[in-house]
Amino acid sequence: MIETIYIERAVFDHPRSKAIRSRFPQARVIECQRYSEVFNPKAQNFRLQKQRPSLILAEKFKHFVLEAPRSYSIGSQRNYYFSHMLNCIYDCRYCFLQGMYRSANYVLFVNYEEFDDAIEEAACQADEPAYFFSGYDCDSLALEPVTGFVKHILPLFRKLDNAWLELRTKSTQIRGLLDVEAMSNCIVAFSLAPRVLAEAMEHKAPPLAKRLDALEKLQRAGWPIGIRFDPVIYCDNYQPLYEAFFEQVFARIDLQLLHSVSLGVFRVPQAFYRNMVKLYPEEKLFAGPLSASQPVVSYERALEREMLAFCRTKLLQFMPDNKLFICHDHN
Amino acid sequence: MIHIVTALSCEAKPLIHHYRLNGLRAENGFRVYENDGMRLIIAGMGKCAAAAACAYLQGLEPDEKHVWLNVGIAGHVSLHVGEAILAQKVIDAATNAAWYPPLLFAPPCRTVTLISVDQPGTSYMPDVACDMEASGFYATAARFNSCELVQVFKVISDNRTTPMHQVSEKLAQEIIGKRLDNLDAIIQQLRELDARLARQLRKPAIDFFLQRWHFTVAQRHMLQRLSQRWQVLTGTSLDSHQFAGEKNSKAVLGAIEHKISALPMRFD
Repeated sequence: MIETIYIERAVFDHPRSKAIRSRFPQARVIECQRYSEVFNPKAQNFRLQKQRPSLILAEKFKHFVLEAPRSYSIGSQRNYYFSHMLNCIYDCRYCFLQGMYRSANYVLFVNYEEFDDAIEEAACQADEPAYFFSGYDCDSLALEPVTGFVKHILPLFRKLDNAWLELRTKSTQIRGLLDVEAMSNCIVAFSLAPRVLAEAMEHKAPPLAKRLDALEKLQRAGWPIGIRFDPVIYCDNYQPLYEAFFEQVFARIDLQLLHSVSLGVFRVPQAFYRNMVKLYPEEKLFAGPLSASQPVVSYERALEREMLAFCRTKLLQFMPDNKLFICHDHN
Repeated sequence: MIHIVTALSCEAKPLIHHYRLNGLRAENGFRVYENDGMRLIIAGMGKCAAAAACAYLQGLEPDEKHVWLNVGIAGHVSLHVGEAILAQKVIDAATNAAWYPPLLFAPPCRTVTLISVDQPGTSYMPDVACDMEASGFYATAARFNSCELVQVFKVISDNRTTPMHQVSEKLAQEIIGKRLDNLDAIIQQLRELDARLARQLRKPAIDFFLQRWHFTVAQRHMLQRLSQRWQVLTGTSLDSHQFAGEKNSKAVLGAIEHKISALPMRFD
């Protein structure tokens, strides 16, 4: 429930701002000049704000589409990401957003059409397929009933035959997708973790069973499915835990509709990690065997290799090698 | 500690009485009143005075984090005299700079945009309340704590039909006195937020280690973090006696790390 909506003066009367306001008639509406006045001040506490986040409606001016790191590829050389929204309604303890932003408020950029232009331009620049990732700074579907962004962007990708869209999510808000014809170039990628870990760390996110139900429904409707085992989290019993978990997941997967699986261990830039520990010093994840001396904080290299090798071996019992992608932040 | 900044003594009086605040003897520049959990300062009028008063209060306990509240009277074109408001946005009229106090609780009163002016005026702006201190207060107090814990509470003293020249000290005292229930509710909510933040910022005790071995500043940070990790994984405090045989701080840190790496790591 949104109790406060900040709206930039320039988009105060934008049709999307009006539509969103009307969904929250009880919310207090506060005008601001730029969203950064509310979102960026230093003296804010992400953890406190996460209890009652506000919504900020803003206009984006540049950097609509950015190149994604190659290590995040799911099969293409040309990878881009875009963020129509900053922050997420879920509260996952491993998420880098809590270390990157000072505010837990949600920022929604309402000028969707300018995202369209930038995506179209990037897609048309080369002859090989381009992948566009939408769930980098937010969950792609979680706030869809409010934002309508996916509903807006799908028709664009329907006409782009050289572009793939990845919607990365933990959400079960799939009605909008089920209501339309499945698209072969739109991957709905679910972030999944074993139940025990999801319960311990993925606060406010739908439980694993509900995500698997949603995944199955989309699969039945013909949508290409992605699975993101990222981050894999270390615990003493990670091997039996993940082995049983992979079996549970792949019992629901139709390999014909499986686009890709990606795998990566917990890793986060050091500056973000420091902020995350300050916010949640009591978090068990951060008390684990992490190596904090590298620019990217992650498990000790040997442990990381062991975890990835174990998971890879187990996954390949269920799926072909050419659909498995390993994500890491070092060479 | 709750830090309250008022401009005038007539704004402070009902609070001093209600919260049973005692005047501090060693005053130097400002009148300050306090009890065990609250401190009130009478700043004088204007944003510079409010900013100076914040700095003065913080200087009394410079290493502590406090809850900050600016309490006073304000004008508004149409709100009734005596109505309480909490600022949802504070604007400095001279610079146009704005602050947005995050509202992490259900306010017991209306929330309104508040503009701080340098000189009292006779005209009212539509839909905004008007005072002379909040911008100076907010800009300064938000340096000392997270802005969720910095709020501005005002009671409407004048409007289009009851203009400012009719505001007396007695009226200010009376209308603030009648809204202490709202102020109490806000303070209660802020205390809860403050307690949550304090829990987040609480550091495990490492004094016994510091008395026994010499740690550099960087090593202290490492020790602090190792202590935290130990506490998370075992639910107990790290006991320096376990490391009594270690020769120096480096060896202590190594030994703690070694012990932590052997602790069970499970989430079920």
